[in-house]
Amino acid sequence: MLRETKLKTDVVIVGGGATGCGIARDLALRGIDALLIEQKDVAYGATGRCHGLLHSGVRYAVSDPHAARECILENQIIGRVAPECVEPVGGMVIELPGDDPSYFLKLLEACRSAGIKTIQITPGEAKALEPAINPKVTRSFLVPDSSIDPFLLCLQNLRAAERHGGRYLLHTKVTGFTISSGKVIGVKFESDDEHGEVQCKLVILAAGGWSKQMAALAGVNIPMELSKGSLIIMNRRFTDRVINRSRLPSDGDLLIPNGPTSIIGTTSIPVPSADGLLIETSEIELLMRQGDVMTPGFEKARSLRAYAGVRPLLAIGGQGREATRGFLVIDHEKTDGISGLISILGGKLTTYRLMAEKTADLAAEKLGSNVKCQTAERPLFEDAILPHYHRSERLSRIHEVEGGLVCECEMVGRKHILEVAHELKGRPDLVDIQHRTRLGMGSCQGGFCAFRALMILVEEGICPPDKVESVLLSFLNLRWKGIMPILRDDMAREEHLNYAIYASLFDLDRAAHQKEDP
Amino acid sequence: MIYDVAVIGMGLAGMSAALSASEMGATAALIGSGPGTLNLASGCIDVMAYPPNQDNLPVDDPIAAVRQVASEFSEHPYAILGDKAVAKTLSWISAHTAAGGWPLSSDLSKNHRVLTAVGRFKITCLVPESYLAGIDLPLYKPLLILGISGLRDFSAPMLAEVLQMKGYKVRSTVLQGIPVGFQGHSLGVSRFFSESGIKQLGLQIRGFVRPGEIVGIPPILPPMPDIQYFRELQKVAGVEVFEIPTLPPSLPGIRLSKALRARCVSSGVELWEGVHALSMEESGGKIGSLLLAAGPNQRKLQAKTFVMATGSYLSGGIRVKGDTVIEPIFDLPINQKERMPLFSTSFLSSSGHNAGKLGVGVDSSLRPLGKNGRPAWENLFAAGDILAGHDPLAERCGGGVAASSGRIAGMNAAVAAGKGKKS
Repeated sequence: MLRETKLKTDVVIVGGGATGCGIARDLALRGIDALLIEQKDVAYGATGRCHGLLHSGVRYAVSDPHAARECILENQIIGRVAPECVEPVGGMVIELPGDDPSYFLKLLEACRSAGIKTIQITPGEAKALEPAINPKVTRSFLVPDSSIDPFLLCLQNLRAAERHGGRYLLHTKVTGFTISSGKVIGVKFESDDEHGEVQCKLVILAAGGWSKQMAALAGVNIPMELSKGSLIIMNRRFTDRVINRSRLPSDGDLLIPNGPTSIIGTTSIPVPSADGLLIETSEIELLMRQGDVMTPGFEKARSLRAYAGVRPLLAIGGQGREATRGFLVIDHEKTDGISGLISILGGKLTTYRLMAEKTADLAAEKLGSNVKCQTAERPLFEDAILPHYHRSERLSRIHEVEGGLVCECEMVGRKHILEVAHELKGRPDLVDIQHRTRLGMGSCQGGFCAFRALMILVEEGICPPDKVESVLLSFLNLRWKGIMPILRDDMAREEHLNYAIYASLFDLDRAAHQKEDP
Repeated sequence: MIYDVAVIGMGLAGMSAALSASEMGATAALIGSGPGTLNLASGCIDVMAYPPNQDNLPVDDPIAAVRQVASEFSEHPYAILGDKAVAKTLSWISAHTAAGGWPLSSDLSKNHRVLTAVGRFKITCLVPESYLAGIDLPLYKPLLILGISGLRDFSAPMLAEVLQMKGYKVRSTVLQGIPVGFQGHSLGVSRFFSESGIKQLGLQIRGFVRPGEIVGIPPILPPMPDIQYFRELQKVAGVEVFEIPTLPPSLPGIRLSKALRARCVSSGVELWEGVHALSMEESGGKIGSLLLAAGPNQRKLQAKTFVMATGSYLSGGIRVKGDTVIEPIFDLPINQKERMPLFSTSFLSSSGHNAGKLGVGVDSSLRPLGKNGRPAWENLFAAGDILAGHDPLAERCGGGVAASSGRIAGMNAAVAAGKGKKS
């Protein structure tokens, strides 16, 4: 039997991506009572499946100057208020033989007018700074790109919101809205063990790729289109800087260093839904080939995982790559005659704060609050960073972990896992723990350490013994979705070993309650 | 020197081939690029638990299942080998491992259920003596599961809770103060177990155990093929003790591998360890020699006949290139059908993965077939995981196929080299 819950708040935020988490904090800082509802874990959608690039704006300088200007301003603000989430690696634009020669100067000029600082360097200097890039580089300049950790960004926004009175429900689906005489007054929700309704004055849809179907629950149509982007994580850093090709944004022309790994992206393929994304072999081959053009030898390197997300784009002028990266706050009272409902659409991870600000401005106005936005000045990390999130901190406390490490690739110990598990209020989900500790993000992709972590969760009473097989199976089958598209050579070897362990030894392929994550 | 038989691969198939060739009086070289996948496996020899196209219930009688598979699936290696040769091989390999210091149970009449660290049972045929007390556990038998504090690949409390849920009478204790090494895996722990350490462990068990209980421990006894350590532990503890397999590195697998390696050495097989077979050179319509990489150097090895027991993906015997599977040393064709996806969308399901059944096809003498469907070389034989038509892991038949095809391929190679008689 599902537990029934009745809640009350002023604002319900639907969606736990960067925008939703950003809105939660923004409202909390203004003293507005809000509750965030997310169907899975934070950053489950586009936020957690992007390339983790804090844009300088160079990528859009020519095609979308407005979005480029937003990017550089937000890039500077986030670098200032949330340096803990940002690795200021810098970016490099390279022109290779075959790239349209007129584009390079056009791009430089567009950067100048958008306010993106550029430093022109010679091909020799470019190769000295980044020895791995294609030696045939003809022209190059530097831009202030950075890499950003989207998980930490979301988690910290949510923590800050909670500290200032905000609340959130993870792994909870919104199933409908209560509308009374043209006004949204409640949100119905459901999770594994409870269902209920939250009474509210205002609902904000920040559901990214799921916004359209959420809006449909309120009988409202919103103009958006979905474009799938696939990316591959490689097991090492090829360059210290973000590498951009000097050409109009296209497939496989971005290489981003991220912690001990690199991410190559992306593709752009229209899709009808944000669920059930499949990665085609042709996408993988294309990305690997393009990576090899930017950094020769790339194709022979070892990839760890592929993933795909959807860009929730505004369906206003242009499609896919041509669609604007700008965003739009919709007041459905004005557009559809439904009051108490706001949508935030489009945008980029880089501009999440600005998107949250504009949305919260409208919400505050509707609720009669005149407290101004504080997120452009106030540091995101007012309290301590998530325990053990940063590698250096984990390393400094390894001696406290009896028996050494649970995950040796990412240096995660028993204590780290337990602290995070308790923060998750006892839900035995290995993927949630992975997001908060980086457990299993290395070469074995959790093949060994997921089982070790599970044993700890059972020992500590966090996972009941009757869930052992299903938790392990759903972790392994979900992980497989990212690994299957890139299975070749060394990854195929690694997986063969994992299969030997979990099928032949642990007999889990014959477990009666096979459960696949939808 | 020109060997009679050169065997590539130091797993179960390769060592079986080298041993049998040498028993036929052939001079044999055994080439291994690493320690062999036996070191990662359970230490059991699977014969057949889940025949292809059957439901999730394992079969009871492995040899009867071999016979059935041999009659129903003409592409399965068991169809070439036959159940009699398989049964004979299992006795033969048990005799060898026992002589190497590491006896396996010799009961071929039924499959056994081996308790694993996750609380599910591995279905297998031959099990090492150190597992025997724990196989086919009845619900009424009281169990004590013993853990080692800091050993991260095994949790006695978790296993006890899972078994309790399944209806077993079980309790657990975690031993403190045993050095586990920085990595905290079972191989690290085992390094600290000298003879006196085993005695101490035995006394601790004696102190904990209650009347009627049998005791399950993670594999922590020394990585040597010497059953005396285990017998000593049982003697001091005064109760039946059994090992419970968990994540690799696998001590029971290492002991099995070392026992067979010792048998190869004492049979006069020459070991070429740490060398990679790169390619071969033809000589008069036959394979004349192998080109080997030994660190930065290359060497040639000449032989009259060759056995490839190079394994599957994990060992590098076959590789995935793009969406094609290749055999890298002899460039033999793989039984990959066009447009058949290599992998299922579920990592773990009873239908397994198409990739698991891929390998090289062979004729009735275990000679790999070329593109024209005829043996690629008259003096090349194949054995083990690389054989097409069986899924060693999903069907739990890898050990039986490896040992049997290894033994037969070794004999056939010896005969082709002019030694002994073909059986």
